[in-house]
Amino acid sequence: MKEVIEKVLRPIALDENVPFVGVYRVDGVPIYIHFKDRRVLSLVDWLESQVKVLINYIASDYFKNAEFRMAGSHLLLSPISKTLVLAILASEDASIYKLKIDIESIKSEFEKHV
Amino acid sequence: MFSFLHTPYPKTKDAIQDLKAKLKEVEFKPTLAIFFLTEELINHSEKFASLVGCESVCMPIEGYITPESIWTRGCLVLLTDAEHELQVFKGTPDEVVEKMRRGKKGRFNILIYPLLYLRGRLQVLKGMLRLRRLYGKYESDPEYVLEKASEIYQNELIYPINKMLRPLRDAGVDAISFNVFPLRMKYGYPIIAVNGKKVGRGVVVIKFRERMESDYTDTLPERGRSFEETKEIVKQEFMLAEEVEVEKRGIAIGHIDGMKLSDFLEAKKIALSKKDISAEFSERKFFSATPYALGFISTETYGFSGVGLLNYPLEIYPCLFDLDTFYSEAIFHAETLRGGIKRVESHLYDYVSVENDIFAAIDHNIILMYEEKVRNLTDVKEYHGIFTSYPSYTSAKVSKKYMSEIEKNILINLTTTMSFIHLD
Repeated sequence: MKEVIEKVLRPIALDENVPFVGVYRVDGVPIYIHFKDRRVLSLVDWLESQVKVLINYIASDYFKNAEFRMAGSHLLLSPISKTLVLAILASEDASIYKLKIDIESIKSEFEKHV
Repeated sequence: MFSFLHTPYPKTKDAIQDLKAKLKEVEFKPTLAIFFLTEELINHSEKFASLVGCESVCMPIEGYITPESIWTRGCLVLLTDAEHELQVFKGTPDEVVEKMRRGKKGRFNILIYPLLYLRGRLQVLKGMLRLRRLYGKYESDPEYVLEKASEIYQNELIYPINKMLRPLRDAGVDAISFNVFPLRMKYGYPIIAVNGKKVGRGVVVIKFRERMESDYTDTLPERGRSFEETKEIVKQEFMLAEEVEVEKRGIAIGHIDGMKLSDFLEAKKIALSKKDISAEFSERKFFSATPYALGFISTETYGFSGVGLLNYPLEIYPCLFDLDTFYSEAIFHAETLRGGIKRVESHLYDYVSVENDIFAAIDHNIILMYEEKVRNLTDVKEYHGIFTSYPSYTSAKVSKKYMSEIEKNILINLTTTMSFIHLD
């Protein structure tokens, strides 16, 4: 499973404007995390506690996806299956509109495997 | 024969490795490879060119479509063994047009060129200074000032789209124009490379010996049969559509309703950018899209085409197409497309069908307008395509009264256009 997730996320994980990519279970437990800089971990730690509820809303179809705009970065949460949510932290230099398009392609790749 | 490869990896090393493996599976020996490269990959065009043992062209794009997915990272590669000739023409627009007129044409042609090319900071600063000095004489002789400004813009920066298509139109051949203007620009951009070597400011022409079926749509209703009729259709299409009087010559736009552009935009409550345009080019922060536009109606066909109004305080604004065959009465409007992405889909699927193998070039503004909804564009039919700046077209056989046919058989608009090549 780890290899599959790694392969599917690779196009995003290689992006230097994406310091963090993670896949979470709907109960908020991370099943895959890729980060480039330890400094994002404190932010991710804080986010995990905050987004647990949101992930639940997404998983139960109340929200389609969720976005946080923070100083200098942008967090996108998007469901990739009935039980998994993709979390991407992008720096302010990333083109968010483009990232959203690529997330759709990542999702369809996941659908083939999950 | 045609074949496509793609890789979604944004790093050159990974992309090259992936393509290398995929190239081994190609079942014919290509004579031409066109690399459509996203983001930073274009900076390493020589590495991509060295992957193939044939002629190659590299151009930047904003994204691409494969039968399974849409990506804005990595690249799409078109390989073909079709008989062709590759030529590069350099010089000012007039010089290039003259050379193209004299040269041999293909039965089908693809033009690839930088619509606006920024050689360097010094060139831009010098040009801006000359334009500012020139503007000092605007009150006393606006026609002279606009003519000179148009010359400066054309000789230094811009290849006007309609002008570049005229030699092919006049020869009665079909051509698709990739007039490249990336969403984010910096000095030395856009990069276009032939056989791995950067072209700089020049026009690449790929001339195919055999005619290939091609097509185009602008996603707008058909044009009217008079100035008034087209004006009314356009006013129904766009938000905030207001008639304005524009002083213009060549590709230079002077006063709008008697005001310089910055005053006009302020009067419309559109905030002007306080950032230094030259610094934005240095940091690749210059963004080439805007929701506001000036639309012009052609005196020749009553067709319509618009140019976006970026909110930089320029006294004389450059248009990306030649305005001499347009009325001075124009329409200021905001960008919308009635019907949204569904309308784009319906126009697209008029041309992309299950029976045909199609390559589609779709205007990159559609990405900005619909973001992840562009995924819908692959829901029904399978095809390959790219998102690039407003693909333009000329053909001896134009099938409809397209709104954006602004000169006989020349079709351009700076938003929501699509061109198609049949690869069967």
